[in-house]
Amino acid sequence: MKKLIITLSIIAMLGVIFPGLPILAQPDQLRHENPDTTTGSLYEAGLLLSYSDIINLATESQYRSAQDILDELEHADLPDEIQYIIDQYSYLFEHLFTTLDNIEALLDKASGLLANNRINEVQSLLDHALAEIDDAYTLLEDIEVATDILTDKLGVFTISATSQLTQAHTRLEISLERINDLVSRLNSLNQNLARQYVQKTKLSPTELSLSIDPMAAYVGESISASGRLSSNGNPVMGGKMSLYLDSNPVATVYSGSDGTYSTSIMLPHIYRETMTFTTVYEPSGNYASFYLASDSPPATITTKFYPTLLEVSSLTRLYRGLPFTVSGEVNSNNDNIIRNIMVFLDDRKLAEQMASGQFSLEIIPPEKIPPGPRELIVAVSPLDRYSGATVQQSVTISIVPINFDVQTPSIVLLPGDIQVSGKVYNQLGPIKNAPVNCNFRKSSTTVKTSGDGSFTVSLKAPLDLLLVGPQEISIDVIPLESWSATSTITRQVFTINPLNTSLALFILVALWLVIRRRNQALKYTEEQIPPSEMVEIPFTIPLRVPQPKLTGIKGQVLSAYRGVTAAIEKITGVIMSPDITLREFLKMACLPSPAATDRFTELTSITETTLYSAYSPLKDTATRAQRLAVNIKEELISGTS
Amino acid sequence: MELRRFLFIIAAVMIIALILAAWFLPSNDDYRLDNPFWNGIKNIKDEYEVQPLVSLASLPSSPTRATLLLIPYLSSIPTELDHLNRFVSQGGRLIIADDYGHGNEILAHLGLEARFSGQALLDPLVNYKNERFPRIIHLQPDPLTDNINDLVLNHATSLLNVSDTSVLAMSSPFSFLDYNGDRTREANEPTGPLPVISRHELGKGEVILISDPSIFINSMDTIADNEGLIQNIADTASVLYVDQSHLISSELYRTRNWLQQARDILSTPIWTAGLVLAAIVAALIPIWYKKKKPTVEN
Repeated sequence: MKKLIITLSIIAMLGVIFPGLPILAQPDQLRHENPDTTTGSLYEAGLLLSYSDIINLATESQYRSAQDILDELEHADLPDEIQYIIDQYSYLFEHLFTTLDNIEALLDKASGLLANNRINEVQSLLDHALAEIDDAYTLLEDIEVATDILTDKLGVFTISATSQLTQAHTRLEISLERINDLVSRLNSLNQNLARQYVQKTKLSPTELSLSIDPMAAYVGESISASGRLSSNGNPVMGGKMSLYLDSNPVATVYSGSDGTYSTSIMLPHIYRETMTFTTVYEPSGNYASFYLASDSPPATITTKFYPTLLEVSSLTRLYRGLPFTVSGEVNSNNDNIIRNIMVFLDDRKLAEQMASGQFSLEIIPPEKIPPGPRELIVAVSPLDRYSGATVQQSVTISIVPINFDVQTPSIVLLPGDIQVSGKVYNQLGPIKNAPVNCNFRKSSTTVKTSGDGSFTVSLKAPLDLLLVGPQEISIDVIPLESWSATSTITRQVFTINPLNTSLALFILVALWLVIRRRNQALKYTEEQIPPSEMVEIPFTIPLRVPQPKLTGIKGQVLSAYRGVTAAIEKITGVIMSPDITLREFLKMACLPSPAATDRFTELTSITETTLYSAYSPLKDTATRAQRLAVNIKEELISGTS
Repeated sequence: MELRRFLFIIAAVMIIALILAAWFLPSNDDYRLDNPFWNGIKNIKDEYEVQPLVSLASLPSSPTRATLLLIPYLSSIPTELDHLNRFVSQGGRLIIADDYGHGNEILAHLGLEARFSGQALLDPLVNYKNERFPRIIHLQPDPLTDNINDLVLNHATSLLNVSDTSVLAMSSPFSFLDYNGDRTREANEPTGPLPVISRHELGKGEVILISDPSIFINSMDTIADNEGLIQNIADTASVLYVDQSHLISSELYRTRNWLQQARDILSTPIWTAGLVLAAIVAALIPIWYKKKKPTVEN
């Protein structure tokens, strides 16, 4: 029975603890999986759909976007047997998109030139476009073959192909048809432009001249531009022309009845040594049906301005939030001119000041800027004839580390106060008014540093379950200044909790005493019994004594005797086993006093008589036995009767 | 009497065994700092100085440059939302890493327009092993993405209503949001590039959104440059707090919590004094019992 209970208990315990815990500890409905155990798979339909999307972008002339997405396929996680085919497939598309982009660019340019009656470059552009179109057709044929190989490798036509894969293949085929159509359209456009070119060659050519006066001027000054528009030596009247500075139009003029034109323009505030002007004639309206376009020869003039010299001095290591000074001198042709000075950190403007000659700006770097290398730029804005100037300097944004001098006691008695003192500083000096947070177990105290960076903290260490051992005090300093780093240090202290330690010792000693006393009691009992008798009496295994039902006078006597023997067994440890006679037990009992021994001898005699006599005992005998029993018990317990 | 004593001993042994198991068995709860298994974030605790937070009320009053990593798998009460608002507005950096949790409640309270889409972000091509692990290769230059070439997410989602200037990382053009869970890109399902990490300035502080908290788990930090992201977060934070109060708890974790609370209560001066008194009484009982034993037995 006991074994069964033990077995069932152990099974129940194991059943509760081990199989249940992982289930109990695993919340459901969380969306992630172990990457080490997950399996990889290729989504074939997704691959084909991606190519279809890329081709669709190309058919909308978004070649750059299509190319970018194609480049990203290099990052695709593909099986090796597919990877090579995909690389070749992508390579073909890459070439096709580049070719199509070139064709469109060439045809656009040719179309634009033809629209403005500029035919000089058109023929070569169209020839170039035609060669590219031939290349595109060749690439399309290669792509068709590669598509068949890829779809075959992906198992599009196998029985096991999913409907998704089949649909994706269909979409890819449609996309390929669309790009074939695109190449055909471009080919048609090329042929159309070639026909326009032939028509334009029949128009009259024009000539255009340009002269600038004066040939040298300050920026902001007015200059005059003039010239003549003619066709085969005859003036062209009312022709609309544009005057360009480099590639930017600066004026529009019309030719007069003699074909001449004239205009004045202000020299823009561009601070460089020369500027080049050109006049362009592009016939429009009715003129477009008669004349070809023409450009004047370029006219270059010398530009004059006052250069600005800028000298800057600044620190190369800056701390975020900590002010620093940028000083220097701006010199504008030795003129006493007030200039606008701006300071940037990378692209962010930090300060601006109007100054003449020497200047000095106090600047606060942004508090949120991450540490690292930056560019400090000081710029002087241009002003009329005075050019601008820029000085760029590499700086490093840093955070100042914190240094600690901390004193903590080496031994701490609990409960009690722990005195922590110290000083906080960095390379710029002591850190003032900074919150210092000291933590010891669950106790925390915050103070602020004084003017010299010093602090003193009295940490309350309350009574808790600690005994003895090393513990950690952590000290956090969070400076108010953003240029200082937040810092934490820890110190070990040896803690002693006298109360808990004493208690633990007391409990251990008490346990030891109890165990020792029990052992001594057992030993005392063993010593009281003669060794010879100990061998004879198997008292270590007490047997269950049969309990006959005792009634009548005889029962009263036996009951009294049994009460006394039970008391003797408890006090002396001598057990009355079934094989011991009443007299033998009387001898073995060794009662503590002679009076008790006499009474127990009399009680034993009465009991023997009651048990073995042929006559029933009298009422008085039973009363006597009961009185003797009471006296013996009292004697055994208190030593008095 | 003997059977009763035996059953008492068995019950006591079982209770002690359960307590020891709850106390010493390592946690396997998701995103727990003390979970050393694949789904925990103990590596972060081991490699960086992090402060676990069991209550948002413990956030510092002056949080300048402090960072809080929050995985909101449980809803936040209004008081907690106020704590978060105060933390950010006073200069703290709040990193909300969420996919299918309660991050949008926090964003709404903070007054940000950005949201977590809550739909599965799949990438059938640019991925790690399969489409549920999208590889992120579009990263904007930022202190958080410094020295990172690619990241790998694990059952992620994407961000919505994020401006181009706020985006720090985007998925590949092949990725898409799987609205209907059929793992196939449909015409109505948004395709990549989709934002997965963004930065939003708020008050004196800022909010960083990461559309997958699993990027921080132990089994993911060695994949791609995921560890670099954690490193950058730690490097740019004066103090890194990791919230543990909005994670789903298992029974094992709850039991351990109760035990810890019990220990904490017993560690208070009053309870410790009571415990000391009880121990003294318990130690004296056998002595007192021994002296009185004959009378009792009599």
